[in-house]
Amino acid sequence: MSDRLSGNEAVAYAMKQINPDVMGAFPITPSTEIPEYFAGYVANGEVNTEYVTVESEHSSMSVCIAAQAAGARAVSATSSCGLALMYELLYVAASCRLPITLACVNRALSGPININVDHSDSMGARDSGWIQIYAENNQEAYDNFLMAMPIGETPSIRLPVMTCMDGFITSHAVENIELLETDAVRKFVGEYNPENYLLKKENPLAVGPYDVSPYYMEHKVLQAEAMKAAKVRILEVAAEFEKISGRRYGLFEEYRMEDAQLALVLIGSTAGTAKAAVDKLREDGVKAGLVKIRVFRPFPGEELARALANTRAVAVMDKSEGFSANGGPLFAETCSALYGLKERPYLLNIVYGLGGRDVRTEDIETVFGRLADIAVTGETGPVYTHMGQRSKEENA
Amino acid sequence: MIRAKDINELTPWQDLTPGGEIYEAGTARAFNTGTWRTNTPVFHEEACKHCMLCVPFCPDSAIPV
Repeated sequence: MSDRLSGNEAVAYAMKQINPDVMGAFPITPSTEIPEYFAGYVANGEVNTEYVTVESEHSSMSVCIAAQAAGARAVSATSSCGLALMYELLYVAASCRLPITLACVNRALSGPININVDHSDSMGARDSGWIQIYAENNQEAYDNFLMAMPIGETPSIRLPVMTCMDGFITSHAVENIELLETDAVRKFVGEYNPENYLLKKENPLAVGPYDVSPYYMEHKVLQAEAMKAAKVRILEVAAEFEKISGRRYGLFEEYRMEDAQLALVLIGSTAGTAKAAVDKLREDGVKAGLVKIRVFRPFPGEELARALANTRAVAVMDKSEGFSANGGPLFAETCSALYGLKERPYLLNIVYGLGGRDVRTEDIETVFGRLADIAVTGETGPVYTHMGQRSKEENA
Repeated sequence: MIRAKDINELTPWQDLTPGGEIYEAGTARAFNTGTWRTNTPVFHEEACKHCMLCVPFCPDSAIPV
């Protein structure tokens, strides 16, 4: 059935259809509406969820960890500093192998305080061991949330999943989207049946032990193997999802990449803008394409290398600053992925859109213009650059 | 189910439990957890001659006043 929903409404609705056991609820712009709408479902008796209003995001993740360890399905939603406040616990959730589902509505980390979109919040958590899946639009935000539990709860995976969408752009803008029937959702998501859980009568369970040095590394290797295995599982779940929805998802989306010479790699709603720019350039005969990363963790390095192998010049667009002085996080991952190629395209990093700084089709066209120059001259110029800021210098 | 007795510092990673979970109780009996005591001191009033050496020594509130 189709409806017109904002990204937040769509995710809250997905949560309602899933009917999780516990929600750790705390507000922060622009994710506040998710626990807000969900509170309405709780109050109206439309879900059986134990709705726990906590005093901070650190507590909302703690609640989720405890509930999930106890054998319940726990969800939460947050943004920016809220995610940052959960920092310690994100690592705990992942290392305790608890498949919690978190809706991260991307917002810039402070400071200065900014409530608009950039990916610094979820990028800051990229080493926490969470599976991270990004949405371009409201449809993807809804679909990704539905796929999260079948991915994370798989016994060989057992990892928490963060589904991300751009704050305000996706979370608040209303789009027409296709919803699944609740029966179909329940059937797809199934029941959460962990082999061991705190409330299991047959045997007790101790979660989150202390490891002396002779054990920690082995537990981390176990966790790393689960993250590696998640790649295949994400594709399996997407295939099952396609059967019930008709919508196909992969680790990333390749847009007009078949014969692309100049390409972009990017994440999130900017892909929508960029696709319009690609279409315009294609009309002008430019062999432009883009790769929109959907799954950032685990990072699809091998697959991305194959997708970019035949391009001449690629601009990796980062909507977050890692302050590495060497390029943004997506750039670092892409470089690493392409390193093994015998012939590599020229790579450029463009850090853009920080704190919700707008990016228009004209800006994307300018990027492709730069790529076209590089493809001809072979001169990349500065590799790590910013776009969209006011500057005294000519070429910003 | 992996038992605590099968885990030691030579166990390969494939044979450890996810997240270091333990599926049984009372595993501390299997090894020396540390130098803290597991016995509780008991005061025998009939043996006491009021030398007061226990007062600065006893870490527990075992001696009733």
